[in-house]
Amino acid sequence: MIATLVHVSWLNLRHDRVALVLTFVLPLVFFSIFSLVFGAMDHERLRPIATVLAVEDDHPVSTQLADLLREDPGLAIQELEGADGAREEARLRVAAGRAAIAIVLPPGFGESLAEGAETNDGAGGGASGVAIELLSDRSNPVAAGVASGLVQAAALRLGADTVAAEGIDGVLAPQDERSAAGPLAVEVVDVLGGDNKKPSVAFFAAGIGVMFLLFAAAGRSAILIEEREHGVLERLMAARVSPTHLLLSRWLFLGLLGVTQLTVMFVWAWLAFGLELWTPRRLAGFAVMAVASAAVAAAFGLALASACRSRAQLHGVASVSILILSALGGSMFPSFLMPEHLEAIGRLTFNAWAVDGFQQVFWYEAGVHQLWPQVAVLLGFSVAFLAAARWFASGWRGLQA
Amino acid sequence: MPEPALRISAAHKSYGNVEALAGLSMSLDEGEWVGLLGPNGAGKSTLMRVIAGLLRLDKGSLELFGHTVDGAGSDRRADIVGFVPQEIALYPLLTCEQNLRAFGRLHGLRRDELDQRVAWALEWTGLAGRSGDRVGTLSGGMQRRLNIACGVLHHPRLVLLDEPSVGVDPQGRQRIWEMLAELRQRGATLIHSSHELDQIEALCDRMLIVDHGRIIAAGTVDELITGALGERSVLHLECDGPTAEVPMSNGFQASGSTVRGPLHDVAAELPALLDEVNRSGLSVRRLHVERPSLEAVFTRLTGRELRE
Repeated sequence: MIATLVHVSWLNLRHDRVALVLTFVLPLVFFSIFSLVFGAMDHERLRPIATVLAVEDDHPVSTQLADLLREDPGLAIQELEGADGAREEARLRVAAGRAAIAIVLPPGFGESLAEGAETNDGAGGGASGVAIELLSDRSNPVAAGVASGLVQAAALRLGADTVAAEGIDGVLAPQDERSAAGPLAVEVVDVLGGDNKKPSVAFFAAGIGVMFLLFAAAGRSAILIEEREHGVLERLMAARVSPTHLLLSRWLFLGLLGVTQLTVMFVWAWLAFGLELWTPRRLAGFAVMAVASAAVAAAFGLALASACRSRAQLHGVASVSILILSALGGSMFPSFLMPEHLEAIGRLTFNAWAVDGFQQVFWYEAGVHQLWPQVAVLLGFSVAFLAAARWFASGWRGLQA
Repeated sequence: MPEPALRISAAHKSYGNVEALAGLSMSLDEGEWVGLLGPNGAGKSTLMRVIAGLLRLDKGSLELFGHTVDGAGSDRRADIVGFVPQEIALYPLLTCEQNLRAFGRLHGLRRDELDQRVAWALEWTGLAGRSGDRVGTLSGGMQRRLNIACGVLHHPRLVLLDEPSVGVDPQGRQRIWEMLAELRQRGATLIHSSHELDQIEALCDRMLIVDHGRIIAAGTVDELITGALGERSVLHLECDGPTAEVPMSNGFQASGSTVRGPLHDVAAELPALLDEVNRSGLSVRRLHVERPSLEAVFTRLTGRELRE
């Protein structure tokens, strides 16, 4: 008896392809994505940090240190033309999110380093020395720590090379005679500033918000399937409603629902976690991104519901696709943790653009006019999903009018 | 001469290689209540969908009240045609009144007119006391009545009823039939698809039998029976002894103490047969002359049972 019932259970599972995918394939996909992301944090595969190098000092030591930094595989250096205004350009790039960090070798740094070596007092490490500046984007806390370590390592290599070449008593003293932070004084400057800014809160409000926007849109889109199953669709079509009317009305409703959902999420983030929300710039940016994100989520849900034949199928397909899109698109962990190729794949998902847009608003304080790439991509996805939904709707059984 | 309510000529509709309508033609007068009969897959649902504007004809023409309509749904068609699907096509989480208002608005009813129609529908269906209840909490019969009301709230001139009382208990069916009779009294033309032959036979003015995408017979019950089976009736006779020795005309069969066979002219043939029985020394215990049923007509015409 038990064997028969077990057999029946197996037959049921075997005939439910969505359940099979959820049971066996989705865990493997998730495991693979997480392994690719967090496995990449192994030292040998650490992703190069997008770094702006601003060399304002023409001392030979600074030039040598800059060359060593350029050769470091852990840094993806963006060069700046000339020394004039290099620091400001570097700051702007970091502030705009185009680089994770900027390394500034300020005027007098090389001389200070050399003098410190001669007096063996810790070149640049004392209060009188000139420190290297790291212009940091605190939304990527990994970058500042790693870049600081790589700069210290480069400085140590510079000292060792000089000893080997010149036979002097070292440009730099051994590590144990320096500060705990390393042989160089490194000053980390947060270019986006403000202790009250909450980069992780902004990230997770956006990431989680977009992910659940998709779940809600897909769940509510199931009404299309219910209407088909219960004959309501036929009744609607026999009235004045065309499939296009039906889809657009659902899209409008789901879009408004999505905007409300995101508003609740971000207001909660403000209330409970201190997210800065109430500035005209952020409110305007939020409104634009909320509308664009809700539009694409609603269209995505409708496309799925139009294509699926049953609620169970929709549930399975939506769960699989939303979880994968969310993992790849950066809803679950910041994209800077991902290997470059995975981040590139993630950029093909609309989640990534939505999350990035909210990050631009709440972290980089982008104005509405600066959000056009994200908005354009999201609206493009919306149109594509709506077109797909309409195409699937033309195949709804028994309806060809 | 008034234009027919509905006229379909040489209608063709295929799904891939399957021909659902194969040159179907039919006509309905205004105010008629017509039963649509046919085995599953005969083309009834496709015909209903074509009339409702849910499907386009591949070939052929369709006229409603003298106006040719194309295959697509239109405001005009939505105004004059009411469609009641076989399923309970309602929103179960909405109340009765909310459902009525929603479908009324979709049919273009507004403000006072909508209020009046909703009030009428609630009275008509006997659901005035349940107007604020969610549809999902109603009994099957109540849901069926509301299902019909939502399809006719805009007072269409032609009403398409696809199995409007399926799954309802006898009392509930009776209530629905009364509602439909009231609709007809208001002047609506009804096309009523059902598997319940006794119901169709009792209610409808005329029947259309559909098979393989065509109307294979049309008329009143008498016309259908005469057309398909002739004027004959069937005699069932039970005697007090074996009937094998009773002289009988062709077509009669004796079995034990019973006799069964066709009577083409009851008044002339029955007395003669009873005389033969008496002469054989037998007495009649029970006698029953049966008119052929619509079911027999249907089986004769289609070669299938209605529910096949």
